Parts: sequence; C-alpha cells; structure tokens
Amino acid sequence: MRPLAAEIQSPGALGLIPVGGQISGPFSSLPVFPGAVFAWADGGLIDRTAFSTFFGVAGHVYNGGVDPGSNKVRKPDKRGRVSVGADNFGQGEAGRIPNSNRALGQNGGEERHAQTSAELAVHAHVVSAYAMSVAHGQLAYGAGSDGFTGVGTMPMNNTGSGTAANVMQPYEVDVWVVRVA
Amino acid sequence: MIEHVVIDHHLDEQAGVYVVVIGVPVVSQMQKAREDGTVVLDAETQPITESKVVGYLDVEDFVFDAGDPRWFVDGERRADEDVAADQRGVILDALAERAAVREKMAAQACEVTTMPGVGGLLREDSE
Repeated sequence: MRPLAAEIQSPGALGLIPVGGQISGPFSSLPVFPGAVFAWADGGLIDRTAFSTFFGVAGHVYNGGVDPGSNKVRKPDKRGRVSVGADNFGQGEAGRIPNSNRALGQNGGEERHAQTSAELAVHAHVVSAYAMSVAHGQLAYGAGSDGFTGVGTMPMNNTGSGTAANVMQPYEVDVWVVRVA
Repeated sequence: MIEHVVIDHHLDEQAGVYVVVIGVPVVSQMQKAREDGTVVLDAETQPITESKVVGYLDVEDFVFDAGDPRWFVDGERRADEDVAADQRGVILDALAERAAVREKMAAQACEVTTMPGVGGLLREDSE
C-alpha cells in the first residue's frame, strides 16, 4: 500500500531517502524534514566537509570526475534533464544504451537534433540523362536520341530546411531536490 | 579517440564558478544554396559544398570553483589563457581516466554463448 503524503513527511520516513537520494515535486521552496537537509539539484557547489556524507556517496561524479576545487563538491544538475538508469550496475552491462555515455553522474543528450546526411538511410536520387545540342541558335534536348551531343552536369536543387527536430520524450516538468545531509 | 570541442567556457562571477561545456560537433556536408534554395555552382557547373556544424553530441558541462587557489598566483587571478588551459587539461585527464575505466570494464565483460535460431521466427512452423 502506498504511504499517504502525511506519512512520507513524518520524520520516521526519512530513512526512505538516503543522503544523495533525489526527489521531485512542484516545490517552490526546499522541503523541510526534521533531521535532514535538502538542496536544489541545480549543479551548484557545496562544501564537502560540511556535507561529508553526501561527498562520501557522490564524490565528484556530478562533475564528470573533476574536482571543482576549494574543498567543494558538485550537486546533481537536474535542470532540464531526466535521469537514466546506468547501463552497467548490478548484474553488469545491459547493453541497452551502448552508444551513450555511461559513467555515473555523466550528463549529455539534446533537446533538438539536426539530422545530417550521414544519418540518413542509404538511398538514391535518379536523374534521367539527356543529351543536348545547340543548332541554329536553338537549344534542343532529348532522351539520348541520335544527333544530340554533349552531356553535362544537371544539378538538383536542395530540398528540406535542416531544421532541428524535437527529440524530447513525453514529459512532465518537476523540480528536483537532493538530500545532502 | 573522440575529439571534443569547447562549446562554452566562461567565468560566472555571480555564481563564483568557471563553467566549461564540451561536446562532439556534428558536421554535415551541405550544398551551398541561395536563399531561394537554388544550388550555387562553381565555374564548371559543379555544386559547391560546405561543411557546417549542425549540432553537438555528448554535450557535458563541468564547473570549477572560481576561488580555488589553482587559479591565483600571489593573490592575483592568473591570465585567462593559463586558467583555461589548466582547466581543459584537468577535463582531458578526467575523460582519459573515464575511457580507461570503460575499456577495463569491457575487457571484464563475461562471455556469452549465442543460442541457435537468433534472427528467425519465434514460431518454427510458420515458415
């Protein structure tokens, strides 16, 4: 049975959200739980001594493995991002996102994607070849008939705009917070 | 090795951080066209192509605390060029370390035996 909202907010339920855990909701201010500290999951830096448990759990994974300096640690940055399950925890690699970044805490992705010619399926453009000649000041053309000479390049005009396509999954916007102590 | 480019690198004085954004450019060879869509040709009536960066993949951002001693000498902030080079070097090291971990994990991946019938119909008698 799902716990009621009141039960979730009770101090006894705090154990459900370990330090480093994240929750989302329509928060306009940080949730207040006795005995716990939540912070915006906005990618900001916090002191890693003051939030040593969080640093012990997360290390520098939310900064690409880079120490930001000044004895600080970076919080996760959920602004405009969704979480994806790591491909290689527990039993090992699942192979579901083998072409994506897989380091814990790593970020990436794009909201819109402009397709390149390399991403198109192999296809052909067929152009009928015509031979041409100019005689008596008049341009003549035909489908390779006798008497027509000279084959040149027939350029094809571009089509399409190259406009990036939206690649967002169905979504609902929330605010994310992370327990840091 | 994938070559990233620096998409953005700036000092946000209000937030007190340097922000570095990297990504892998997506380059597309496109025929040069006029505004009306017609192809621009060279003297030999061949279409002129041009390379265009149409987007970035694997975009990732990193931050460095602006007050870190690494960016100062004798209390003065170091030249932007030096700070930028140092920060990009740190990121390159982290990417190299990450790649090494990934290679190690791939090497340790357990072997699997592919069973017969892969790619065939699930119902054998429906052929």
